[in-house]
Amino acid sequence: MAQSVTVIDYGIVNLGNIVRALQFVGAKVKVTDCPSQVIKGSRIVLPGVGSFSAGMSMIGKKGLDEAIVSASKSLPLMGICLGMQMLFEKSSELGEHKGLGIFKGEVVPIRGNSVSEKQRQLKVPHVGWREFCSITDHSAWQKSCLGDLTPNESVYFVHSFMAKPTYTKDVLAQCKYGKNLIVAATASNGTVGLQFHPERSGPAGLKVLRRFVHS
Amino acid sequence: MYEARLIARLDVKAPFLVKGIQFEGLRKLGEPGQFARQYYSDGIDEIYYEDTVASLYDRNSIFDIIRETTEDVFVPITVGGGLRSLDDVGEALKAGADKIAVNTAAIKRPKFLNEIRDQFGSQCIVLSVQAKKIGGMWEAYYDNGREPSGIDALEWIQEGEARGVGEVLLTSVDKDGTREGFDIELMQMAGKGLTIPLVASGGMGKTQHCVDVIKTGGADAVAMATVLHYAECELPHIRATCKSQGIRVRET
Repeated sequence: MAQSVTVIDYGIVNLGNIVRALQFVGAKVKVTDCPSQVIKGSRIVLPGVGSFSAGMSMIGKKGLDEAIVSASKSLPLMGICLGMQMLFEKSSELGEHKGLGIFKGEVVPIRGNSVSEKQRQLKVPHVGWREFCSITDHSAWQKSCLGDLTPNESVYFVHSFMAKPTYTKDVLAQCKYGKNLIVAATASNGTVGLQFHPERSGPAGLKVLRRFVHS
Repeated sequence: MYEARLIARLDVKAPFLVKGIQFEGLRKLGEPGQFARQYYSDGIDEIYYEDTVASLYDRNSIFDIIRETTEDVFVPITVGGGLRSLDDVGEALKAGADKIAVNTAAIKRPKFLNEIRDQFGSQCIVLSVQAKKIGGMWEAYYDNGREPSGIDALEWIQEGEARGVGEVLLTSVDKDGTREGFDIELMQMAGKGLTIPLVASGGMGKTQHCVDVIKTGGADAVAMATVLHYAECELPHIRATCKSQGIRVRET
């Protein structure tokens, strides 16, 4: 039985890859930019590429903000990359901007001037494949959509800002980039945020999506 | 600790995968999507498609190739070659590309880079620089390594960074397709003070070349074509060699 997933389209251009990846793992995908449709499926994905302010302003213009917040109370919601960051209360990307506030905390820049062990300049955006480190709560991990991954499997990141959750209990997985401890995944009350791109992370990413779609 | 991404570079003259030497004498090697799928299953980190013809009339064929590839290849895909307008960029992203690479259009009108950044974000712009050594400097070439621009490639990279590109793909025209190894000196010079990732391209003939351009050349990622297309180096072996020499690569 195919699970239905609603992918929220707030005007970003490359929605295709997340849709194809979800379909690949067996989801019946519906793409919508209509607030009343958000609640219609059994799961919601909020993708995202671009700047925080642009993303939030598109979501606001379409009236999707309230729909997403209210749907998150009853349906599993996955935010990806900017989609994850927008689940937080605010971001300091290009000025201070308000987010959806489903997760407590803020979004801050990656510290590019921190130097990695080789004394080379740390590059920002952070682009590349990285494995998780320091998984403290194994039972939360196993219950989450990351549960089918082995902790040393790498996933793909591309971002210049990172989430800083208020509560450590919301942190599902972290990874290390230079001196930055980057929150790779957050989870709270059925909502999950992924800083990495599961739809671009090869077989490991597909495992994450498969688990989200079928659990 | 060094670390690097491994990128398969697929030069396309639709509908074929092609490869030349120093951008000349392109040979047809097969169907690009098939190669891309093979590299994906071997654990490549990214795919880079370069449209070598990129005529205005033929644009759709590279987009078709991207659409087809993204059906079952789930790693980042970059497309370059002949993108001239914001509409072209939008089309490429819509077709499934994660990033776009620009060379010619940016040389002709540098502000194009700012415009792409403003509309689509830095993370999706790669500045493709084709550098040829002329005396003591490197000159930026365009139109697939055919046309000299008169611009100093190293200065051009800095300008691109200031204009908001997210990454630089630096190809040595002299080394392209030769299997002689990367232009290490070029990479070192380009990487000085650069705060965005540098992708080295052109010249890989054996696995050690990849290690050298990361450790000595300072590259953050390595684009490889000939060695993969002719199966002279295999990805698992490249990864294992990198790891054994202290370079962190993706765990698969």
